[in-house]
Amino acid sequence: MKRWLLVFGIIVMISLCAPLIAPHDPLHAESGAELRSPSALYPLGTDLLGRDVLSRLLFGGQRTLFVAGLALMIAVVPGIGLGLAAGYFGGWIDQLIGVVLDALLALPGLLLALTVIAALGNSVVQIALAVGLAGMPPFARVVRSEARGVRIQSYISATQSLGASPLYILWWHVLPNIAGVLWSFGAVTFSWAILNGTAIAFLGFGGDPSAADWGVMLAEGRQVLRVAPWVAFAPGVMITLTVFVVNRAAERG
Amino acid sequence: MLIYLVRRAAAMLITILLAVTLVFVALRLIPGDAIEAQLAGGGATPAQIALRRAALGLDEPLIGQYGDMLLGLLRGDLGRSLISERPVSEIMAEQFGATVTLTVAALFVAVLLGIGLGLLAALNSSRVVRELAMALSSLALASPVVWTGTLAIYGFSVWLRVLPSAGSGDLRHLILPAGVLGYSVSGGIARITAASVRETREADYVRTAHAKGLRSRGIALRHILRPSLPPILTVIALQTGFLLGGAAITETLFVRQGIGQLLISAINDKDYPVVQGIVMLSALAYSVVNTSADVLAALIDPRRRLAPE
Repeated sequence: MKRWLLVFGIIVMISLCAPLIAPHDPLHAESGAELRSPSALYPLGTDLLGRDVLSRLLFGGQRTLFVAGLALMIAVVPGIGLGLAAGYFGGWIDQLIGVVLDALLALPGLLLALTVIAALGNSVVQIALAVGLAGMPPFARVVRSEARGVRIQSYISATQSLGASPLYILWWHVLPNIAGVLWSFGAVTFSWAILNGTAIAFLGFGGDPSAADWGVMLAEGRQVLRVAPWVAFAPGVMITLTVFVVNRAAERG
Repeated sequence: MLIYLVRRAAAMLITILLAVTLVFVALRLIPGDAIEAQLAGGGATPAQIALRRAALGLDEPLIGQYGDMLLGLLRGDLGRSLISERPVSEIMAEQFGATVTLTVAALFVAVLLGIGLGLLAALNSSRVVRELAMALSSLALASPVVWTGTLAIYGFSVWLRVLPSAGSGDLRHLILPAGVLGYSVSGGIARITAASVRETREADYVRTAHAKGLRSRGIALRHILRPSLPPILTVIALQTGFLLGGAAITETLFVRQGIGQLLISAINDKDYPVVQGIVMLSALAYSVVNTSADVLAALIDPRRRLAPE
């Protein structure tokens, strides 16, 4: 797990250092240099507008990972709150939250995200909100069932009879005991957010079409696949690699 | 079993009703609509726009529109498209067949590949085969459908020239989209199959079966796979939600007709009766499939018929 986390850290670092190491401006379209195959000047070639694919790839990680990270926060924070409340208190609170989560789960994640984008627009924050909102119900579901498992342990009732408040118990006894599952499912939610962001960009709802973003690049690369396959291959490999690494980091032990 | 069925059916109806309400509210929050986009562009006056709104029932208070929609749903009436003014159910029916064909074919690929890879990863005697099966399912989980689809088009259509990259028609047009979507869904199924099978394999009765001298193939299918099925079924059913979203991507990627394409263009046109109809149909399909999976799991394993907790 640690090994994979290290690889993920390297991917993040490279994206953050993009301004220092990128050979070209990711947004600059060099006229006359369209669809060049990989060379010394353009190590990964250029795209339809003559932009350097390597530079776009380096900068693209920033937007892609930022959207996925923000979506993760939007899924996790209310997800933990709702899941803990439902799992700890049980009874009608559990049933009420369960019914709402079931209804949200019944709407396929991608369709839910597209509906939210149609309603709110498609700048970076709104895309993250849409993806995160669609990822929240499954997360809350997992937290609920894990919290339930801890709740029925006898040491919790012992702590209760000593007069501890629910918040104290949730913070000091329930959360530490489900931290492993939160970590694993959080990582899975993060990679799911990357994949969903890619899908949204491909379907044309990814916002700014000139932005350096792996999903947007993959969508653009597909248009010129027959003449310049490198444009699609670079972001495709990066997305798959990143998601693969995050999924492996999610496996415990 | 009857009590279990009734309880599940009631829960399903509540879920669908709530999902429908959520979609209704979300779509009413969208600023602007097709009428404005259509008519204002053509130089229509505000009065003309209001007239057209009234004709479509869009000037009623929201609660009235909501009531009309629910009554319509009971009669199977999903309203009319704001653009073509044809009944939404009719527009959807035209595209329905193509998407059902795609998703059923993809699910077939996913189940076959997923359970196959899962069994290989858990039971094969060769370490190399086990690792390879695991790696293939990890890759399926990590690759966006757009990317595997792009690779498949590059490999089979551009390079080998054996399969068409676009269009819908005969079986040859179905192989690539169904294969790509099915492979993507198979990852999760393979993972849960491997985990579930590894757990069951340790059971005492499996050791007894080996001790009795039964053939290992028979043990794998009857003593290990069958009791491992309920969690696998649950995951397969949960994947239908992904399959419906994946259909939108696959149809766009392979330029196929279908509900997914219809949804994308309806969102672009702000034609929300159509969006509403499609999302409702997805919620209905998802709920029915998942409830059926739970019932099937309860048939295999009677302990599941009891209420949880």
